[in-house]
Amino acid sequence: MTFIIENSLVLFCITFGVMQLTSLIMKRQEANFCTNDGTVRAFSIFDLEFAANAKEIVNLITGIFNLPPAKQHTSVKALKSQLYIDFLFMPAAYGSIFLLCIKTSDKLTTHAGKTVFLILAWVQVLAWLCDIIENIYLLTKISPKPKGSGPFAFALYQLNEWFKWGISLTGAVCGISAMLYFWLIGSYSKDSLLYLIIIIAEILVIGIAGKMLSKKAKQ
Amino acid sequence: MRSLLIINQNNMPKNLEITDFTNHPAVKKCMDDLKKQFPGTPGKELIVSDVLDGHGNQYVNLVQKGGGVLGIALVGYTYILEEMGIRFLRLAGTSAGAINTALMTVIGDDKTVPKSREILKDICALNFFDLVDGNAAAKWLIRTFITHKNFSRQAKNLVSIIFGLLAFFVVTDIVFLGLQHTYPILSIATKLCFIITGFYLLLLAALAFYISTLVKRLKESGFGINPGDFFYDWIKKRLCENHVVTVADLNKKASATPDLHLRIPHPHGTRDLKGDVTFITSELVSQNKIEFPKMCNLFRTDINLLQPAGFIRASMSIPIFFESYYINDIPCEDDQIKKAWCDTFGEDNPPSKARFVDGGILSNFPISIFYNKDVVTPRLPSFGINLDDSTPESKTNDAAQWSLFSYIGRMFNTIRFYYDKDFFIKNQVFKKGVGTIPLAKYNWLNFFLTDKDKIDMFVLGAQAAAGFLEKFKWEDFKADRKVMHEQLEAKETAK
Repeated sequence: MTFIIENSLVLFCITFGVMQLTSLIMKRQEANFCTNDGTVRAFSIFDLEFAANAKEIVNLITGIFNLPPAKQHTSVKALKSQLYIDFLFMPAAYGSIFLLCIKTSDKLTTHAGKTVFLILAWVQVLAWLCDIIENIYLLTKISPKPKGSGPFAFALYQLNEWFKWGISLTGAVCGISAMLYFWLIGSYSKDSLLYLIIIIAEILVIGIAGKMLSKKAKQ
Repeated sequence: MRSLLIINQNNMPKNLEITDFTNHPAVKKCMDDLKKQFPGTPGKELIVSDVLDGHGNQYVNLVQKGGGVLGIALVGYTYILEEMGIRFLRLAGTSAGAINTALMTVIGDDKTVPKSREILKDICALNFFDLVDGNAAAKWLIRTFITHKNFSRQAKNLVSIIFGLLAFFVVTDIVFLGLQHTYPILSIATKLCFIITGFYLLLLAALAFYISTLVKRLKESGFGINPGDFFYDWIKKRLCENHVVTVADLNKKASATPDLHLRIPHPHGTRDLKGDVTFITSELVSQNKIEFPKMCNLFRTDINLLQPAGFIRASMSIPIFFESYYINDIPCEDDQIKKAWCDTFGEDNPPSKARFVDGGILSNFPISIFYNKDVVTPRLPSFGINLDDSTPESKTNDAAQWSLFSYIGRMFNTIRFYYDKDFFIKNQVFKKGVGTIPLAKYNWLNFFLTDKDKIDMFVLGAQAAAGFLEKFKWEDFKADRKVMHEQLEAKETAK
């Protein structure tokens, strides 16, 4: 079975660029994440995604509302808007992995290889769904007195995280490794070099922009 | 004045004379101010003790704090005390304090003679950098770490550059390897990139190998970067020059006491006033604080088999910086040794080997050495010289923002300082005998002091001593000590 997307490289450049840009925006927002769970400290979205237990999420979010009003408002706004921007990040990120895996599937000659990468591509939809569930779960928790999840619900949340990260990372790593292999054996067209340059340029531009913005924020 | 040839860190010969220290305007001002305040006329004498010798010198006990190279400031302090006619009956010290204590004990034939000038001569003739006697890489690392304030950041940047370059070479290899299929001419660049990457990896491998041998050597040397042999030889030579070869010689010198008399009568008279010396060190096998030479009997039945220089070497064995000092082959089955350990520490199984590190990890300021709870009214005070290198920021730093290094350092300092701090909290009167030398702008491990640094530290010591003497009131000290004794007695009676 072959699944062909016209202009997949163009689409990939677009989704990859959107992913980079939304990632930069979310990173800037994360700089304002602050909580006071015993001591005033910064935290990251990973503290919420990989919390050891449900109480940790509750304490973290309660801690945000323990901050002085101005800082509390900034932190809550930053967290909520990051979760909303994440809804834009998702199609870009999972779309990029999807396109990468589809392209790889297209280039492979063996049936088994094609099938594996087709599955890896389409299973990104499941990862996207897991990410949506995660965001909704966290958004419902953002309140001055968040309700902690029971053990079963929290276990499901953790399983959701494992699926999301497992599926997306597997797709990304396998896709990138395959593309690297094709590059090294010279199995690419001369025309596709332009898209490679575009992708590298996107990485450099967003990277430099990110560094400049953090420097400015520190000052 | 004898001129002393000093080689500074740039290997340029320089002349440093004792008068550079003692004739410094600030030091002379200290002496002038003290002489003005205490001209010696009746009612205007400096009185710090009731114990005097035939020359009118007053005797105190002295404790000197540890503090690495900050020990030069101790000499400035004792210089002023001696110039004001103060002499020292009992001496104790840790680490750098032990070095000064040792020299004050052995130099000269009796306690009536001032020692600080001779000590100044010895210490300033010493190129401190020679104490850093590890291998070249260790010397370079220590020098760079101490003299560059942002060394940690620079080290992190260097590591980032090394790995960044590696990543760059690997990426260029991959890029050219892929491109050469489309542009065959690039195969030359591909080969060149791979060769450069190969050489770079070889360099990294050599560096990794060198670092691993250094780490292995560090492990084999008991995790001490510098052997400390230079210091040991230096202090041994100083002791020998002053006729101290055995522990018996050391004890003899320390206990040699001139004819003393009391300013005012005291029930105990002067019969039990005898000099001694104590060096504090930490023993890691039995996990005890050891006081040398008093506790020599724990390690040898014949104490003269031990080296007095080893006591000071043991006291100044800064962990990691210097190798530990060992006493091997302790006759732990000998009844005499067993009895000594049992009587001293209540331990039935003496170790066969002892490993000593800096006394400062247990008691960096051992003022409690001279505390006697049975004393109602003291005949002489215990003076202490405190080296304070803390910065104002260290007390106001946001505790939640400490780095891992700061956090561990704070924990360590809280534990190691508390033994002495607890004594001061419970016996506040002893604080009145302590003078503090502010040394915030100096690093205690900076063995690369310039001559100016040495002079400045000496001056700070002298100024601290002058300030202390201006404020010290012997009669108040005695009265407070008496009150303290009465309070203790009342507490014990209430129990």
